This record gives sequence, structure tokens and C-alpha cells, in this order.
Amino acid sequence: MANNLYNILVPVDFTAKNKWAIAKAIELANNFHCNVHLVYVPNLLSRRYSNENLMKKLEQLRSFYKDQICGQGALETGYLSGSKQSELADYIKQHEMDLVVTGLSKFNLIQRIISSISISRLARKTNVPVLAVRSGGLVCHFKKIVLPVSGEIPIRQIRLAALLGRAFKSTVYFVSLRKQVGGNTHSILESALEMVQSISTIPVQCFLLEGQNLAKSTLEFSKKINADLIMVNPVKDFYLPGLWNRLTDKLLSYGTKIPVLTVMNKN
Amino acid sequence: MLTVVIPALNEENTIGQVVKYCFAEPLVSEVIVVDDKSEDNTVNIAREAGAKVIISASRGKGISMKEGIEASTNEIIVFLDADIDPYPEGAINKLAAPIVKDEADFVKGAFARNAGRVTELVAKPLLTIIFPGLAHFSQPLSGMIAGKKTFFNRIEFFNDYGVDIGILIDMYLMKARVQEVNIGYIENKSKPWQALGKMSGEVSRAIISKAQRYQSHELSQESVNSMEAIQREMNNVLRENLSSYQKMIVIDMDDTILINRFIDECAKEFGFKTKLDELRYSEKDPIILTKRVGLLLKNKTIDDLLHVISNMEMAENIKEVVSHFKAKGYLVGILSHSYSLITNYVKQQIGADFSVAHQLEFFDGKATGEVSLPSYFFGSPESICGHSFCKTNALQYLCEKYNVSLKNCIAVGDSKDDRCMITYAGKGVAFCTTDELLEKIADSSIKTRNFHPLLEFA
Repeated sequence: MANNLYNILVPVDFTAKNKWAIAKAIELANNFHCNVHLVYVPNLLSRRYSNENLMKKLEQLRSFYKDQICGQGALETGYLSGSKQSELADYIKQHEMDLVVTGLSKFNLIQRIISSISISRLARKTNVPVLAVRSGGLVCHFKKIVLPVSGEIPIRQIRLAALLGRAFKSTVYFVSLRKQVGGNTHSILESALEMVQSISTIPVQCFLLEGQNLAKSTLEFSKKINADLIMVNPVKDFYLPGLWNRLTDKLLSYGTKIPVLTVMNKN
Repeated sequence: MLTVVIPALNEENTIGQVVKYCFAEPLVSEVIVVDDKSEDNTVNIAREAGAKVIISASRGKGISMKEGIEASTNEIIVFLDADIDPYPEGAINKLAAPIVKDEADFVKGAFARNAGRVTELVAKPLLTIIFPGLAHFSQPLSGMIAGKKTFFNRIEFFNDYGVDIGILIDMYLMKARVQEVNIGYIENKSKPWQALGKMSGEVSRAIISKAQRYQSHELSQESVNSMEAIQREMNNVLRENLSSYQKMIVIDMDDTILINRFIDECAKEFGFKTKLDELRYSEKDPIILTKRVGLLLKNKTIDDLLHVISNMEMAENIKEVVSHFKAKGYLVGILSHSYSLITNYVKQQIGADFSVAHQLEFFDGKATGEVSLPSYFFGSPESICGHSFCKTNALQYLCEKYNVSLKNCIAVGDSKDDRCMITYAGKGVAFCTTDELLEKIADSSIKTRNFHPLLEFA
């Protein structure tokens, strides 16, 4: 994976949730001097626009946000039609996107279910990190990054955390469940710590959490320390407990206002 | 009546037609070919065509032009290039007409063609800043000109690519009436890129030296600053953009190019293995460890150390792989925490372009035990990893030095020391490593002592 961010994609559908995603993307772009691509991609529930209206709306969006880019990056706009997932995946591949930022609906339950499923799928399908932000999650910087560890060393998350950590002078909090320690997880936690130290000088703290479910415990921990970002891997360990959450593939992210970055661990 | 002067050098293919073209114009009473000591048949062909031929005393367009002016018997002189055939119909008449009608003292010929790179990138921007009155000329470097002999006689000619722009500036400064006329379409070959640098330099020098000579008091600080700013920004942009085309591969030396570690072989040879193991066990700070290991080599001669390295085995296909990468346009280098004496030896053996390592100090041919650590191994505010002492810092330095983007770098290593550089290089390759983390971090891992798999990244 890249050691810098060059292109950030924000899928837009001209709803309120886009605002939070674009603001976060622009904030990152100004830090990393990268480009932001605002791409209209309709989903099942979104309103349809004629081509002319679409172009007009995109132009409005562009003129509204272009002055907010103050680094060396640029603001691009575009639109896709057809299947959202595959069109987005093609766009990401074609334009070499390094990050996708998406806004989460605050109240619309169906939208949230669709979003949560599509984020994990997109992260899996494209191997590109997907950052989900909600309105309350508009913090200025990622000062406290929580990185739950389970099963294997989260190499890609660590590299991304090092990248963000350098830019925002963050502290990374590795968390793991106490009940899992003693076996493999302990050595994974140590290796993760060693890896961060090998590739950066950002401060790291390790915490063993009580509880049975890593997602739930991470969420509680993150709220307690006022974390600014949680990094997750779209695998079972990171699903919240309960039948409903399992049915809707609810990653730990969507129960919180804290921005969540979903990163596939395997290259 | 008018004289046509044609400076020529090895133009046997076109000179005959150019002279005939001149005589076809009723206004022309004299054609002078100033030959710059051509090695072909230019002189004879020009004479046969009816031109008066002067052999120039020394080479250079400026001198030839001056000699042509001195030999001319008419007040109006037209200069044409010898390598253009055909000229558009009536070109001489168009050039001379404003002078004949007494509407101008000097006429610059412009012709339809693709914009010249030096004209657009060098001459015009400089003229705009220094001589705004000449900024409207579409082809200030054109060599097809006409003028009055009395004006030409007052000019100091440059003897290089700056001659044509120099004449234009002099005419402008003498307050001669200057015009530009379009003489039609001319097939003009673009200069090879190698010549463009020289041409750019000579044109810039001509413009700036004229400005310094005639208007030093007017060459304001603002002009100087704007020229510097333009040049700096152009350099930065070029450097930034060209860096995406440059590629580099850096390879660790110990246990990678070499089958073993150099210091371990020294320990065996000079009997300090136990001390070395103790040091490695007790000293965790990499800087102090490097310094203390250096002390173990105190009083060893250069010959002793070269003897050790010359007996060490290298990966068998490394030379072949290095030459393959070089053929593909890669810069190939060694980046090691060993000593430059040794890395330079290995560099020579494998045909690499550079090597970067620490400096073991010698006095009277013997190692003093002191090790100088080059500053580029140390962290700076720009350091991407933030480590105070790391190969990644040296890799960043190399990227800066050779204008290569980090994305276009391949780093190959085997040990814990290489983890960081392998993470930040565009492509990180773990080579026969026993370090599990390194293997996980690397984009690719080579498990056998064979460099061939690296070629797939070339």
C-alpha cells in the first residue's frame, strides 16, 4: 500500500451526509497535498437526475468546495452510472484511489444498513481503506487512533496509522481482549508494537480490555478516551454482538460518532 | 539596390538554389556567401551560382555576418539562412520593402512554423521582463533580417546563437525603426534537444548582457527577482515532474549481496567473535553499537580489510541482475550500515552506480577505530519515519540527490534494520530474511539466494 495519500474519493449523492465526508476529505487533502474526487454515484434510494441537472449540481459542488483546497491537490468531479459497487471499484482502480471517504446518515436506518454493508464490501473488494464519518465525527485531527488487534498483525492498519500519526502527531492505542491474551494475541500485540516502532516514532499505548466482544469493548474504550479514529478490519472479530448486528454486517463503527476507517488487512 | 549576405557552413545541398533564388529578385545586385570553412563543396557551388564568396577568418555566425557587411557595396543588406530551400516567393522583397520605402531601418522576418522551444520558453519571457518593447515580436530569434549598413556598422555581434536576438536588441536600443514582417511559410527543422540547452544559454546571455550594458540602472530589483522566481519555480516543477520518470533500486550489502556479514567474517579472521557477540547483546543503541564495533577494527590495515572482503562470496547472479536494472534505466546502489571502503569495493565488483555507508577512519593506512556516520543517516524534520538514525533517512537523501520519487524506488534487504526502508520504498523486497516482521511488511519476499525474481519489478 502507498506510504502517502495521493487521491481521495468521496462518493456523493447530494444529500446532507456528503457534507461531512467532503469536509473530512478536504481536511485530509490539505494535510497530504492530495486530490479529492467527488463522484456522483446513485444508490437504490437516491433521487435520479437528468444529465443536465447532474452536471449543474456537480459544478455547484465543485465551485463551492474548490477554494477550500489549499494544498497542492485539486478537486475533481465526475459521475458514474450502473451498479454502485462495481462502478466505484472500477473508478478506484482506474484512478488509483488511496482512500474513500463516505458520510453516514444520522437517522435513516435503511441508509445506515446499506452503508454499513457497502463499506465492508467496498473495502474487501477494492482493498482501499474506507473512512466513514458522521456529523458528530468532524474533529479537526486524528489525535487518538484506536487500533483493535485480533488474530493477525494489522500490517496495513499500522502503516496507515503511521502515516496519519506523522501528519497529525497522533497517539496509537492498540487494544485487545484480555481473554484472548496468553495465546497468540499477546505475541501479535507485541509484534504490532515492534512494527510501529520499526517504521515510525509515533507514541503507542497497548491496552487489554475486559469483555467478550472486541468490537463492543473497542467501542466503549474509544468513547472513554474520546478517540478521533478507530481502524477496523472487515472480519467477524469486528462485528458488534447480537443477531441484528450479525444480519446487517454491522461493524463496530456504526454504533459511534467516531470516524471509522475500514481497512482490509491482506494485500 | 540591395545586397544579400548568406553565412554558410557545409550547405552544398541548398546553397546553389538559395543563391539562384536571390538573383531572381530584381532588387538584388549582389549576393555574398560568407563561408565558415566548409568541408564540402559549398564554396564552388556558390561561386558557380554567381555569388561572391568570402572565406571567413574564423568560425561563428556573428563574425561571418560582420565580414559580409564589410564586403557589401549596397546600403541595404538582407541576411538569409543558407539551409532553407525553398524560400517563399517574394521573401527578399517583403524584407526589404519597409527599408526601401524608408518606413524602417531594420526588419525582422517572421514565418509560419511551429513555435520554437527556445523562442517561447527563453527568449520571449526574458524580453517581456527586460525589454517589454520587444515582447510583441513573434520570432525574435529569426535569422532572416534586413537593415541599413550604417546601423549594422554600429553593432557588436555575438558569435553564437545569441547573435540574432543581440542585433534586434541593439537596433531597439539605437532607436532604429524596427518592423517585423511575415514572409510566408518555411519548412524549418527543429534543433535536436542536445542543442537546445546550449542555444538557451547563449540566447539568455545575449539578452541579459545587453540589458546590463545598456540599462544597468534600469534593470530593477523587481526584474531580477522575477527572473529568479520564474527560474526557481520552473526548476522545481521540472524536478518534481521529471522525478516520476527516474527509477532507483537500493540493495543492502550484508547477507544480501554478500552471502555473510562482513563484520562477522572480520570477527572470524581477526578473532573478536566473542567480543562482537557481547556487544550485540548488550548494546541496543544502533549509533553506539556502530561506533563500538568500529573500535574492534582498530589497527587493521586497508589491505587486511580488503583481503577479507575479496574472500567473501557474493550472490552469484547479482552482477547480471544489476546490469539488467541499469539497462532498464534504474540507478543501482548499495545502502548499508557497513563501511564505505567495503561497499565501494562491492559496488565496483557488481557494477552498481553508487554506494552509501559509514566511514571507517584510517591513519597511515591503518584503521583508527573511529567511525564517521554520514549526516544523511540521521533524521531531519523532513524525515518520513521520524527515526533519529535510519536507512530510510539515507534513502530519502538518495531520492533527493538523484531526483527519484520514493514511489519509484525498490529497496531490498534482509534484516530488522531494513524494515523501515522496505516499508517506505515504492516496492520493498525481503531477501532471504529470517525476520518475520520484515517478511510481513515487504511487498514481496525472495526466499532463495537468487536475485532473478527481482527482475519482475524492473
